[in-house]
Formats: sequence, C-alpha cells, structure tokens
Amino acid sequence: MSHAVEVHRLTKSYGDVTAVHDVSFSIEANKIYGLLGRNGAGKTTLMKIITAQIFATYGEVKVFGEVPYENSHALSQICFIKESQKYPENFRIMDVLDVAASIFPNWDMEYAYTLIEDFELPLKRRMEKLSRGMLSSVGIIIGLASRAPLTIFDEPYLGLDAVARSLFYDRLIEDYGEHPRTIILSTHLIDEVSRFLEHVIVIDNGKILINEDNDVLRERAITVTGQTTKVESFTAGKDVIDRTPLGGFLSAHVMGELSTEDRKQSEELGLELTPVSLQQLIVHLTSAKTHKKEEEVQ
Amino acid sequence: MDSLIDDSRPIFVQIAERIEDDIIKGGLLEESQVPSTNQFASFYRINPATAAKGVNLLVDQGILYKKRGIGMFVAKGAHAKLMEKRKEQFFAQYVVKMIQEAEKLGITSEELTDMIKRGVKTK
Amino acid sequence: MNHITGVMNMHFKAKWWFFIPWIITFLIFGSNLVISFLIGVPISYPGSIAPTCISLLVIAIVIVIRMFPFALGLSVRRTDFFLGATSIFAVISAGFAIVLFLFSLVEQWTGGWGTKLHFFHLSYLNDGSVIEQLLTSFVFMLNMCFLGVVIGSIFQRFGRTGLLIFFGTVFVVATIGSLIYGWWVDIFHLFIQHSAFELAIGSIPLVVIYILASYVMLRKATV
Repeated sequence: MSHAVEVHRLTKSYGDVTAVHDVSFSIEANKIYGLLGRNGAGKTTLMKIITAQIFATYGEVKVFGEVPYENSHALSQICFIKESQKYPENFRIMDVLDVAASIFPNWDMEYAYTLIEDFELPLKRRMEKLSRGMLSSVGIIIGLASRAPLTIFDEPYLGLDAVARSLFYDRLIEDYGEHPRTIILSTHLIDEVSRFLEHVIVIDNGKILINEDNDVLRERAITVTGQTTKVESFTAGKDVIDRTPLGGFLSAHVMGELSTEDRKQSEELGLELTPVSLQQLIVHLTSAKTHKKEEEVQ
Repeated sequence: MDSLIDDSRPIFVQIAERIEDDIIKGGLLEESQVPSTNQFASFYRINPATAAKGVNLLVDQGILYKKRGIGMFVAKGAHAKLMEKRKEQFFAQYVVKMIQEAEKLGITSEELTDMIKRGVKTK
Repeated sequence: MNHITGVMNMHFKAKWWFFIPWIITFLIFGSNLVISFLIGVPISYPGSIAPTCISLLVIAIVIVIRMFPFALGLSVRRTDFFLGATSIFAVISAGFAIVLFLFSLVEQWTGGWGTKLHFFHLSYLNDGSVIEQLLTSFVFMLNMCFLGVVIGSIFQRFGRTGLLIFFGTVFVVATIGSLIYGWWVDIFHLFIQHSAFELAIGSIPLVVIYILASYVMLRKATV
C-alpha cells in the first residue's frame, strides 16, 4: 500500500512548550482519515508541518515519498484548508478561484462553479465583506475543486450551519467516490463525520492516542447498563474507562471486545450492551488522561 | 436518512441487510443492477469502502455478482436463497426464544400452537 | 515554472494596488498643473517622483505581507512566491520608468504642458541619454520595490518584534552616523559629485543585497 504521508519521530517545540511530541504514523493513499483530538492537542501544528508551512524541531515528514519543504512536485499535490486561511481582502471570490485554478494541477473550474451555486456564494463579493460562514465555504470549495491527491481540511466549517455542513459532507463523499484521493479531516464534530471516516487518528497532548481503522475502533468499547451489583460483577477484571451511576443502576464503558461467553453472561444478568460511539470513546479517552494527570499532580 | 443506519452494529453489515431487504421485498429484482458503492456511500453518508464491504459480503454469499466494467447485479435464485436464510434467522431469533420463554411459564406445546393460531386470527 | 506564473497571476489579480502610485502621482501633477495655470508662474516641482517611489515601497511591503500567507496557504513553494513577486516588481519598475519617461518627453514637447510646468522632466534626474534616463528611473524604482520586499520579508520571518528591532537599529545607526560621523554631508557630496545615472548604477549592488536578503528570509518564513 502506498503512503500519502509518512511522519517519523516528529517533535515540535515552541520554547518550553512541546506541541507535538515524538509522533510517528503513516497515512495510506486514497482513504478518508479523521485527525481528531481536543483543541490544542497539536492537530493544526501537525498538519502545518506536513504541508511545510512551519518547521519541525526534530523528525521527518514525507508526502508521497518526498520531503515537501520547497518541493514543487510534492507541494502541488497538497491542498490544505485551514480555519485561519488568509485571503487578500480586496480579492473577489472569483479572483480567489482563478488564482487557485492557476496553482492546483487538478483544479476543476466547472465543479467549483457548481459548488459556488450549491453554497449560494456571491462570486463578485470581496473577501473582506464575506461572513465567517462564507469564508469557510470558500475554503471548502477550494479544497474540493482542487482535487489534490492529499486534501487536508482543518476545522473547515467555522460559522457554517448544519445545512451547509451537511452539504459539505454530501459533496465530499460524492466527489471522493468519483475521484478517490487521500483526505484528512480534522474536526471536533466527531458524530457528524464518524460514519465516513475510514481510519481514525486521535492526538492528545501532542501524542498519538489512537491510530486505528474505524471499523475496529467501533468494537473497541461497549456500554454495559443494568443493576449496579450485576454490572459490577460483570465488569470485574475488565478495563472500565467510565462509570455513570443512576439510582440503583450503573452504566459502564468497557474497553476491549467481549467474548461470546461475556455476551451470554450479560444476557443472563439482564444487562444491556450498546456500542460506544466514536465521539463518546474519544471524549472518555482524552478526558480520562487529563484526570489521571490531575491525580498524579495531587 | 440517519435513522436507516444506526450505531448498534457494523455499518457494512447494515448495508448488506438493506440490500437483502430490497431483494426480499421485490425492490431489487433478480438480474437487475444494484446501486454502485458510491451511490450507497452518498445516500447513507458513509465511506465508499464501507459500502463496498457490505456489497462484497453479499457477493461472497452468492446473492450478488459482478459484471466486469458494469457493476453489481442480483444473482439468479438470490430471492429464494435469502428467504431461506431469513427463515433460518427467524427460527433462531424468535421461535427458539419463544419456546424457551414458554417453558419458563409452563406453557405446553399444544397451548403454544393454540396461541399462535389465535395470534394469526386477531392480526 | 507554471507555479511562478500562478504567483504572477495572483499578483496581477491585485492590480488595483498598482494603480495607487499612478493615482497619487497624477493627483499631485494635476493640482500643480491647475495652480500653474491659475497663477501663471513657471513651476518646477523637483519632488515629483517621490510620492511614486514611496507608494511603490509601501505597496511592496503590503504585497509581501498580504500575499505570502495566501500563497503558502495554496501550497505555493516559498521560492516560487519569491520568484513570482520579484518578476512582478521588475515588470512594474520597468513600466513606471517607461511611463515617467514618456511623460517627460511630452512635457518637453509641450513646453511644460503649456505653462512651463516642470514635473516629469527634471534637470538632475533627466540628464543623459535616453537609455541612461530610463535605466536611472528603473533602478530607483527597483530600489524602492525591493526595499519594500525586504521590510515585508522581515515581518514574515521575524514578526512584528523583528520589524520593530530592525527599524530601531536603522534609526539608531542613522542617528549616530549623522551626528558623530556626519554621514549626511557625505551623502550630500555623493549627490553633488555624481550624476543620477552614476548613482543608479552604484545602487545596483544594494538591490542585489535586498533581493538576496529577502530570499533568505522568505525561505525560512512560516505562516
């Protein structure tokens, strides 16, 4: 399997603060990846290093087998849409599209104009007069119409309502189906995207917490609900990441796959088993770690 | 759209079941073309690879077959095969459970048959 | 190569910036012309191209600061941004030099626009042959543009603090130089002893230094 991105022992420090700490992973070509984690976990830093916008303190990054820094060939295959993207204020939307067209080799102008209509953007309006949501839409359109072999969306939808986000997901999946490419989607709206992510990388405090196929991840944790004593006896010896008591009942999140015996036992105990959603799982894992840290400090 | 797919089981299994349902209900006739994985992906807003996994599950079972360069089609005899499979599932999921529960309550097999007949009538 | 044309396209889209120096120049020219007509006295306005030069400087700074983050955001190589911007500024400088020269010709033919107004044709700057005149203003424009590019690059590379430190240093060095070593006198002598053309040629190494320094800084700049 060819790799779109290879990251090897990457570290990025700003003075005393380490934003990314000795991170290694690779991203397979033509899959949709989710890069998830809390704000300040190091996601944006990581993506900026991959796209050679900032420099690593240590370590190495390759995009389609090449070091991207000052490398036209590698860079021409990347489109990185970030929340903080700056546009010249006096440019009209059509100017921005025109410039993008002269830079991205796979740019599809017809498709860009279709998207402009879908997102109801005023082509002739200047960038400085666009609302936050409109700016986000312009970014999304560039990301989609560039058809770059590596397309990265970093929180692309600040100011976009549910309808516009929905439109983005639909167009993304459609166009990805017709023009498969590597897509990295960084977001904290995990529930909205979890079904179409093929692979999930979770980063927390500058380190990789999870790097797993979404299908596998779905079965990594399960919620057990029932009478407190029964849940306690069932989960004894298991990796419980979270427990929520409710009267005489207890709801516990258990890591790891359940054996057939486990399932039989839970049935006999009258326990209810439900899968933990990706969002819940990540919330538990990333906040559980913070709790542990706090305990250590105390 | 979201209600069609839930998080209780793997998505690709649910996609396979949707296609099965369509074949059983007659929405998808034998020898007719099945929507492409991209169409499934867009419709259910899932990853095309996941949709493909669901479709391949049915290819492995001989329910669907691939026409090179055209797409996926419903195999001959798929309907009968699925009916058979669903009946087996029905037996395991409902009948066996029902009998177990009946035993707990001390219901005899004659009483159980009567109950079923009564249920059919009132329906 | 097509990346550089992409960057040039990006700058050309910002064409309104390049109108500003012309607007400023012709506003001043126009008002001088009107005054000259009204009072009927011959006017020589030696500072005519100063506003043009200063606005070019400002535009160069603004372009680097505005366009660099935009270009990098669109996966443009730093080197390509630099080459594209350099080409654009060379083209603009040449364009300004030619247009200013053409106006100085018209000014001569019309005897100072009919009112003996000397605005574009100036005794010091427009001495020498046609080539010399063109080269002189071309090199002056280049100096302005690339001084702007250097300042913009300092901002991109070292941020606001870097820029403040730079200006602070320049100010301190200039003050000490002029107060203690009397640099102003030296500079004054430089202008008296040499023709504008000689000065222009002499300032070419300065342009080269600006260009090299900006390239080195932009190569390491982040967004």
